[in-house]
Amino acid sequence: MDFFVIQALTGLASASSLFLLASGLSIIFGVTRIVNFAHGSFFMLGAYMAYTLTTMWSGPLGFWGGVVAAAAVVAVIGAVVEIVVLRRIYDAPELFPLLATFGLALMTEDAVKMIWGPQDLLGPRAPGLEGAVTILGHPFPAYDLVLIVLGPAVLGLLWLFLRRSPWGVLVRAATEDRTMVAALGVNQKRLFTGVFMLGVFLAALGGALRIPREAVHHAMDMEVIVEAFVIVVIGGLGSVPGAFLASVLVAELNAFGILLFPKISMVLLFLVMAVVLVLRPHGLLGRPEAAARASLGVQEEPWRPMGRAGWALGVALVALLAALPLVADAYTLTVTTEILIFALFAASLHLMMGVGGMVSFGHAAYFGLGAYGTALLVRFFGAPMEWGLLTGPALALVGAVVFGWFCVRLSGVYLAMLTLAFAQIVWSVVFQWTEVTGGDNGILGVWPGRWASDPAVYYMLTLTLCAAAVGAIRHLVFSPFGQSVRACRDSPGRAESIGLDRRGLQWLCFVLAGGFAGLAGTLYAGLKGSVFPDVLGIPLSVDGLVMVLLGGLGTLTGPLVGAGVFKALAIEVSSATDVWKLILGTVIVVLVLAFPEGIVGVWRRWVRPRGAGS
Amino acid sequence: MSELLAVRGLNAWYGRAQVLFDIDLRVDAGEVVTLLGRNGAGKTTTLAAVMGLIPGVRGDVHFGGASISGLPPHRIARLGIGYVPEDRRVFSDLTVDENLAVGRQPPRPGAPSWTPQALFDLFPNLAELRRRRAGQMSGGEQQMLTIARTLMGHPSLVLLDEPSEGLAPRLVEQLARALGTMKAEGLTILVSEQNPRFARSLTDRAYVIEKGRTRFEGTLADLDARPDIRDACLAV
Ligand SMILES: Nc1ncnc2c1ncn2[C@@H]1O[C@H](COP(=O)(O)OP(=O)(O)OP(=O)(O)O)[C@@H](O)[C@H]1O
Ligand SMILES: [Mg+2]
Repeated sequence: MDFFVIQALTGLASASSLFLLASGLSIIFGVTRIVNFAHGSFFMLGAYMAYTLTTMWSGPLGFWGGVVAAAAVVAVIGAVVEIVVLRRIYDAPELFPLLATFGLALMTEDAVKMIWGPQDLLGPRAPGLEGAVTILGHPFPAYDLVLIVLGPAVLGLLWLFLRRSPWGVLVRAATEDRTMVAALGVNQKRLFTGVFMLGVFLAALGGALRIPREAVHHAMDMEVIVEAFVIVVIGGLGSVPGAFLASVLVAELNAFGILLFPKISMVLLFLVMAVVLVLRPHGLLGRPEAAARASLGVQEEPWRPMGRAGWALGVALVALLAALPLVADAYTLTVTTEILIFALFAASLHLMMGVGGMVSFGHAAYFGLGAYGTALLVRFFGAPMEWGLLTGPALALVGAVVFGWFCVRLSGVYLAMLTLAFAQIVWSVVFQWTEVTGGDNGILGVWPGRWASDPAVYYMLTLTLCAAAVGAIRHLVFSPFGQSVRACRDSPGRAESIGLDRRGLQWLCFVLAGGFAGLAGTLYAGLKGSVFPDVLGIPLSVDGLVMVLLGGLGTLTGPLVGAGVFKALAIEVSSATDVWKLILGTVIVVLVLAFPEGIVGVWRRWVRPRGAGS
Repeated sequence: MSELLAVRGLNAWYGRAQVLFDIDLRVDAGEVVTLLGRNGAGKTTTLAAVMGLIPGVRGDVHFGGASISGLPPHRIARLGIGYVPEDRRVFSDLTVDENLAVGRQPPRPGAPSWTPQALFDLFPNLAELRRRRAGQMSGGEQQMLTIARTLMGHPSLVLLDEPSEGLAPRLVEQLARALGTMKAEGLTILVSEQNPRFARSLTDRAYVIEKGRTRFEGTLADLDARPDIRDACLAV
């Protein structure tokens, strides 16, 4: 019993730092609608900055002053980022800021390594709080007690601030309806900068307060960002008390999960999130978003099938690619095969996001299921990899049928987070179920039969299947089915009132997208000859998002171009330099700033301008 | 009378669809001008375009002699234009007092200035609800609140988008009285309506728009003499 109390207290202490992180994320999202992927980076920067300041200054004042000063410095950095980067893209399509913040996160990771070095850093302990106190006969770190008090204290301060200060009232008003706040004469830009600074300050403070408990390292950002998203979503977007509740829940889950359910400890968090979202589609304390107010004056361009020239171009491109084995060496063919596979992956994500209007943060799940559907067949039945072309997509389809059924019940960021939860569940199962999947060691020897072992043959196989699949997606988009799905995407209410079965249609779209991703995964397994849990991981899902957004969401060509550019860039840059994350991040940020409609959107605007007035 | 708002050749698009075609409007200081038109005629678009809320517009908007085309909404608001949207966008999570606080701006020389007390005199229902969350008020009370919130910015011109829509007749009367007081205080008002009966006695001039084009300009008496326009363009 005593032991449980101690464990619960440890959980509460972790909850405080998580709460600081998550409340900042929640406030930023509430007002600016930005899903701030760089939030974990600010947390990490806070920790590093605090490490530097607290080792430089001494005494209690040095420590606590250093912690607060670190958070303040990082908040100023946040303000600069907001003014220089984010401010320019608030009016861009919904997910563009996400892309920009992702680029920033990449940049920060390398920048931190350059400044503080790659090694783990141990910060000082809080003066006077180094020891332990005895609770129920067990020692308990004194610093953790302080943290336990700090969480609710910050919650109280934030609550007071949001309720009582004039600025807090504006923040709450803008969380509801920022356009109206602007029409009443409030300078949105300044408000947004202020809110962003506050959110970053909280994140950095959370990071700074961690240093006496654990070492500072450069992978902290990714470690915490997913947890922060989970917390914010469980608590309800924009709700500070919700973030607090969810932080406690998540921290306690972490504290007890490993003891009670060691086998599924990693799934637990995402399982809980999935359950919460299924039961309460807007989180514990979130409220339904006001029926998405079609912002005045913004309307999607109607989609049109390609003209004859477009078709000719497509056919010419495929023909050109088909001729590649005549001139290219094996390495080039392998790289191009990989790019083709990711083009299909991006196209399938486009089917889900661009056509179905369902943003996915976990599309890797279906890619990975495709890969494992193949690899397991090879491992347990000794079949050549080609048979996986059936079982891989089939397994992905099954996954998409099950997960999609839940996902289409939600919308917006909540839906996106549920896709992430499912992807993480699959990842954890694969990672921890070593007997079947080989866990971290993966499954090796997933090669195609001898006839396809030549890179040129495998390349042609991939090209044929990918071209056919992309053609099929294209056909779907403009079929009556595609039109109905798009109608549901644009105005759910109206679509339902004319008798369309919105959920059914979206579900089907989800499933098809999953199937195509599964095909890509299968081909990937055969290309690499092995499968590891990475094929289900968050980085791959994010890569997919980047490809789709980089190319532009509005056309099928966009994701294809995005996949080509991103993959080529990633392969080229990562083989040429150590700081490829810095370079890639910079390129992404610059591209987002230069082409807020995606590469293809800009092409369309300049080459074929249409519509006046905009 | 001096010209306060002048709109010349206003065109607006939603995506590729053009919804306003060369709209011309003039509102003189102290006037109440009514913008009439059926569902979908373009009234909301016109008012929102003046307020800078629509990206796809072309045309000239002058306010107090200076061009405000292309300014962001908060700058336009600070120059003295108050905007009351049609769908009562109160901040439902905020109390009445807090809603008013969001609208507060420094007093403006030459424009009537309002205190919360004056606004509670204007809309007596609100006085008892100061601590009530706006989301828990009736539609009529919310309508009063949006107007009061806009007046907290001490505008010299108020754009009112279909204020009587969906209100019980008793509330419509109360609203018309409040408009009368506002006019008497020296406020200039541009109000959109589907039906010329609302605030008829206050209206100095009216415009009728149909399918995004100006079809008529003149007094309501002139409009009465044009049954063709009334039948074709208005829901009477
Ligand atoms: N967000 C939007 N996207 C596309 N078209 C729009 C949008 N908002 C309005 N429209 C179209 O623009 C035209 C003018 O609409 P507007 O809302 O200005 O009319 P209104 O006169 O205010 O109508 P109501 O009396 O119903 O409020 C209509 O044809 C409408 O369908
Ligand atoms: Mg209207």
